[in-house]
Amino acid sequence: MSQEIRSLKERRKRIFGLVRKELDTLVKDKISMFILFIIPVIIIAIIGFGEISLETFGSVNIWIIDYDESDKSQEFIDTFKYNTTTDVSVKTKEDFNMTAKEFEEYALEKLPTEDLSAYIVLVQNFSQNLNVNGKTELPIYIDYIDFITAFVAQASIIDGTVNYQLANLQFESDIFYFPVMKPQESLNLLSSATPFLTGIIIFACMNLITTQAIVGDKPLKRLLTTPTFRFEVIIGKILAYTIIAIFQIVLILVILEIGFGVQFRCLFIEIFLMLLLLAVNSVVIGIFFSSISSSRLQSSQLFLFFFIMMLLITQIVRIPGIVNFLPLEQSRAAFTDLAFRGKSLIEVWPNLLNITLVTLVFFAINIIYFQYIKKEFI
Amino acid sequence: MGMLEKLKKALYRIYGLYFKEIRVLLKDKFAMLIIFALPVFLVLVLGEVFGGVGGDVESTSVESIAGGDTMEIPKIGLIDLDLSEGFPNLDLSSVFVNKCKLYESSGALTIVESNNQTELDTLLGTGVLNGYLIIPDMFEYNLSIHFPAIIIVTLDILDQTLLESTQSVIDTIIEDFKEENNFTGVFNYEITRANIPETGQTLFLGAPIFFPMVLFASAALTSAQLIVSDIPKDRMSLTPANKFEITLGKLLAMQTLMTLLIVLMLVLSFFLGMTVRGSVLDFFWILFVIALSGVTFGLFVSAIARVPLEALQFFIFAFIFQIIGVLFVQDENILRFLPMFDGYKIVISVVLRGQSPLSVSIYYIYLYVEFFLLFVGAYLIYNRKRALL
Repeated sequence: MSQEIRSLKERRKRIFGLVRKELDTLVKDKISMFILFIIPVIIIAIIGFGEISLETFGSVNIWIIDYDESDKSQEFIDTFKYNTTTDVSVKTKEDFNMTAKEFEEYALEKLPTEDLSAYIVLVQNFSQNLNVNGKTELPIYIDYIDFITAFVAQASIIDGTVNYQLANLQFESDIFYFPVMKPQESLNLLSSATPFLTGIIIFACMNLITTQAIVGDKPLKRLLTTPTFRFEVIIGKILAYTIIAIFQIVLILVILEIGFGVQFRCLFIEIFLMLLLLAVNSVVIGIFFSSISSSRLQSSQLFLFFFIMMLLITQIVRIPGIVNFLPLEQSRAAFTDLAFRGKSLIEVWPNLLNITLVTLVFFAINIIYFQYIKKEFI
Repeated sequence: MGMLEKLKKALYRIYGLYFKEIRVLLKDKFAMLIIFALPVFLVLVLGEVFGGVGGDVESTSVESIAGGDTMEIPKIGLIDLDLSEGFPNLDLSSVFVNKCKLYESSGALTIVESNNQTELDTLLGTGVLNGYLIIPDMFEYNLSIHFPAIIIVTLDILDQTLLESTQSVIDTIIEDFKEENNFTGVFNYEITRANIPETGQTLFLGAPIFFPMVLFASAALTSAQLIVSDIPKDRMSLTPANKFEITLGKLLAMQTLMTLLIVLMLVLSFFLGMTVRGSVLDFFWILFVIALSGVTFGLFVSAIARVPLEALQFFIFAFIFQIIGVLFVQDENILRFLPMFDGYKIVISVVLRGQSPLSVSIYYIYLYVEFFLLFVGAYLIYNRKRALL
């Protein structure tokens, strides 16, 4: 009898049974289905149709304070007013009916406010410096409180001065560069976000759902009084959630590629397999959280805490010793290499190995914890 | 019993409920972790206690861009094609290459030297390089005849984690080279980055997003469990305490802890060098209002949820959608309904710019109205729930 229970065929049968039971439960859970299939679609759609909003909040206002009042300084002002390629508003002392001195004091006062992004001072000898020395100093004051507007203001000023030099053939020893971004085909917001976004969606959704796999499984205690082995339960759950993950990954990739035209330079199967590995990783970690938690809420809280910390380390702190073992970072790097650099799965083996190692470690801990430590079931 | 007596007894009950909630919250280790440990950790991160975060806006020296242990180093390809001459006593392209090597030895970048642009393109395409620069022929000659030299810079935009630092390193090397050789160009830009403090820059620049987001999330996440997880609350219906008093007691208790958190975050931020143009009191008040909005949102979620897990899931959805809204929705009429957006606008205008709170009164109004509606909503929904007795 004991041998029969331990036979491979019987084990396989029991695991299949467990997978079916788990899938039945999952499919009936409306919240889980919503998290797995509706949330990703909404997020991708918002980003797919959206544009970065914070960039467009502040308008760029540049004032030019002309102490020189020469033809050259007027040419400079005209270049800024009529030749800048970016959408900026340029004002001079005439617009406020002030002297240059009064205008500079007023600009200094207004710089911390939204009325002014930056001001340029054309010094008294501006024209003479250019005519005699071929160069002049150009004091520029930029408000850095809103750093996005500050970057736009600085770029606009550099752009304006280059236009002035080209229009007046005024050159001096200098070094310019106009960065070429590669790949040269323009990536839209969704394409740029995709490597990190897909990882976040798949990891977060699968991890959040699986945090309920053990702790929320009320009949599990009864199940363990049958000949089912504990590790079979773990394997059954991992397989069931992995099957669900397959559908989620296909849905995400199809929406990205067909719905929003994100172009992948690799085989569909390659990117699918990489994301599946990430999904298995998130399932295994989720089941671990579920095993060690004493309530459903605690398990979800563990997910939230882990997820926030992982996001912080991946996006902000980036501690090299840790970041290399975080699934989100590895999937981001592997996704970029596969989808946009056209590498093959074999070429991204270090990333895959890292995800696999973390998965195996958590899998082993799961088995040991569930088999020997979790008191409720011993 | 007169009205005054009734009011006095109601206040006494609210006072008792308030202390009961405080005690319960203080015993909840996870709530304490969410309320205090996580935000404090984040302030320390932005305060650069664990090392640099992003780039220093004033950084121009080798030391300041060599990030130490916490920063990844960009790999940059370099080709020197310049064969021209003309500058007295110096081979300018070699000086430029040596400048790059000096930065490499300080740990700011790794240089891959080559003679072949195709090779560098391949390395860039496969992600080995983050960028490359080519010193073209006539580089030295152009500079020697007072003409600009244009160098070729190509950047990999696929690895966005290193894009900014790659460009920053290249800019710094060029600026250093120009300064050393007195190549000021037609316009010697004397750029003053105004209005940012010398210390605590990351905290200062991140404040409009960071403080509202952390306070709202921390308040809402913890408050989302206050009603739905409070099992003994149904027994309260046997006492003279009514549900309005219970809801108010929870709101006050949670807001008290949030106030402590705000004080802690502000003290820590100022200790780490952050300074603001607005008054500290205005800063405190806006954070207080955002936390209040988070608490009432959490209470509302807690009232509509049937089980604690559902409340947590509602919070996660609402939080994710709010972040996506702030980042990707452009219509301000929609954004004003999001407390994190209102907080962003107020912090940047009142706290960082030092403007009068009246100049952004519209955002305050939205926050106050949201607080009122959510609190009334939470109370009404909770009031309609049947006690499990």
